[in-house]
Amino acid sequence: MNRKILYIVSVTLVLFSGCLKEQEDLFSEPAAIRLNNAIGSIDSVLTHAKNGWVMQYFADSSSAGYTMLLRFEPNGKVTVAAKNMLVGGQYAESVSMFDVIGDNGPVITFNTYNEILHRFSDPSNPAGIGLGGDYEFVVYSYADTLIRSKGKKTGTEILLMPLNEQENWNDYLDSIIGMKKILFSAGSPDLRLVVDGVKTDYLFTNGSSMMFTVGKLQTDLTYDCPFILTHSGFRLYNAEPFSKKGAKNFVLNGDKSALVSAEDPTVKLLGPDDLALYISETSVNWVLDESLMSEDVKILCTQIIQSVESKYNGVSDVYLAVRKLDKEGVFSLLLGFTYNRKIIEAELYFDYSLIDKNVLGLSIRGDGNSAGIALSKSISGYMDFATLLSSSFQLSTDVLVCPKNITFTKQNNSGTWFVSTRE
Amino acid sequence: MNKITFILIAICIFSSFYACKEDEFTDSVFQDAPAIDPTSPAYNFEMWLESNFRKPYNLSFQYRMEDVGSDQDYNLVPASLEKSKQLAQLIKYLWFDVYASMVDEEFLKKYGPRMIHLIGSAAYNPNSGTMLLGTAEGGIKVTLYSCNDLDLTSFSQNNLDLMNEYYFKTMHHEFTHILHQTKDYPRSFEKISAGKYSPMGWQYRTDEEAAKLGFISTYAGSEAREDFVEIIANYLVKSDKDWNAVVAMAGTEGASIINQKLTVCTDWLLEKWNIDIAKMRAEILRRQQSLDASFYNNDL
Repeated sequence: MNRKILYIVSVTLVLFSGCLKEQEDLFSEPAAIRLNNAIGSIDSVLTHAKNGWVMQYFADSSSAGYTMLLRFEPNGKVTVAAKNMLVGGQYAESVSMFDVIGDNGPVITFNTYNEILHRFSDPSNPAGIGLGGDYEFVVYSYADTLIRSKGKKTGTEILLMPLNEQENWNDYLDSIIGMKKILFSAGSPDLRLVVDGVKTDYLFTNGSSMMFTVGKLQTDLTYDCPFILTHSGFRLYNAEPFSKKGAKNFVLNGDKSALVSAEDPTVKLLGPDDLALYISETSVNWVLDESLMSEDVKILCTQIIQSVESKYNGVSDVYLAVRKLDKEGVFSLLLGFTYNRKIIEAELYFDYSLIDKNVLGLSIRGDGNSAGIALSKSISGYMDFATLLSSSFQLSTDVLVCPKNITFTKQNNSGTWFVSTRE
Repeated sequence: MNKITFILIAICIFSSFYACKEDEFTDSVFQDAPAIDPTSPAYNFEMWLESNFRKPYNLSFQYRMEDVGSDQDYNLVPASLEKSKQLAQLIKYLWFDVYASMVDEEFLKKYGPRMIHLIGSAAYNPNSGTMLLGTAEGGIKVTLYSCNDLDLTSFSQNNLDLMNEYYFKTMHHEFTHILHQTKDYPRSFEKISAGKYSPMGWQYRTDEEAAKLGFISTYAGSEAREDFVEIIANYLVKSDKDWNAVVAMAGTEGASIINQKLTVCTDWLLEKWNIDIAKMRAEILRRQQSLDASFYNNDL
């Protein structure tokens, strides 16, 4: 019996030892050592970028993104620069301290106050909350070309990319402002999402607020889509969900006809495809640029301006513009100026027709507002210009995705033309 | 009892006596001064802190904000390096040097905080509309908020009043917490205004309403221990004119209560700490009045 028990115990032990499994270590070193190594490496990566880093900063996942430039030095000094409304619209730099510490993983902390970076986390306005941003960033991947991090409190994704060594900081920030001027200024058109060459029902609107409202045609559905401008276009905070192709970074293409997804070039955002339709649906002033017009147009413009200046002593801000009047359902030739601190807007009306794609027909009606009718008789050249405008025009632009300037060229006489700017 | 048991008991008894031995002031418990790059913008300041706080007072002066060491209930930002330098010099001049000259040099080495943590912003309580100016934790750490609001470009009386409210009073307020956490204040103090404290509603009282109830400030009306330290802190930093103005606003009854509290505080400081509050106040006010633009060392 005893021997039997011995056999059973022996066999059982052998069986159990077979279940024993040596768990292989996933990591070659303990967590503390790996964290210390990561801290050293991140510090080194940060300070080795000679011309610093571009930080794409979102205070939270539902507000506009801001670009800051940062230069980290081995002695713990960091210089932060920006050029945006939060710093008064001018190029501004601020110097403070930084450190890479072990916290929730490796964390880049800006641990003395920086006039630029801490604006986003300063809780003074509104009291206790401020803009709600972070100043400590948990790094979850790093390389010489890209550091991905998340705000420690908000979890908002913050990217750092090295800046080209030859790039001047002010010029770089200007290029971003320039992109804003190209893409998003007053009256800028809605952008239509196009996938594989097919127009979707999704319209990206309100880009000048740095937060798209994406609406679906024929529905009340809207979706907020924060983004940050880049020197070549913009990056959405989250990939747009409509194409299901993960499009996030949009780049203005070479002929400025589309914003093309860097992730999948079949995903595009397009502006108006018919300029005549666009300006007939947009109630903004298209102001004539005196330096960009044919000689015959220029003669009339000069005549009008001189006539206004001679009739109204001390007059200022004289301009000519074309605009669509929604209420009246007509186009007008607007002659505007400031006299005795009053803004005068004289208008002569035109019926209009969309003759073809990018072709607008204007036909003088012989009426206008009271100032327009009065000045058509007293201002030399005003009526002549209205007559010249009563014609059909081929419309063209240099930035089709977001027309800021539109050239009107007479269809039956290409030698007569003028450039107008959206204001 | 065998021999081994006897020896073990004897060792335990000796060990426990040894543990009761009072600690002497020794070298700093903090690491040696950090190896800081001489080209760092903070190098001179770090060296100054080393010789003025860490070495003599065993005190870690944390001006580079440590988020984990701050109150996570608040949204806060760090103090600027510039303001930290200014405030560090003021803390030394108006707090540490005062105790060194008026009590003795060992006093703050023994009872002073082991850490001072500077925070740039206020700690706002949006729900109650209040903000925290400072905290003292367990007699170890003093946190001062709103450091970025320090303005040393003007030494007008208005600005001094503001600095008193935000920083100087807060320093003495928080340090007095440390003192009474070490040697408790008389229980009789709590009876003076018993029933009049309003922990949740003190901020809705006006200065005058608080004074008439016998509180030197609205915050003093929150609870007895705050009342106790507010009496001392306000008395130390307020000029005769300002102190008397509050007492006058309090009316006969309120003034009597405030004076009664001041007497308890005065006696407690003298008996427990050998501190003559009147003399210390005179020294603090003298130093406050001597502040001018030349006070601040720009080379730090």
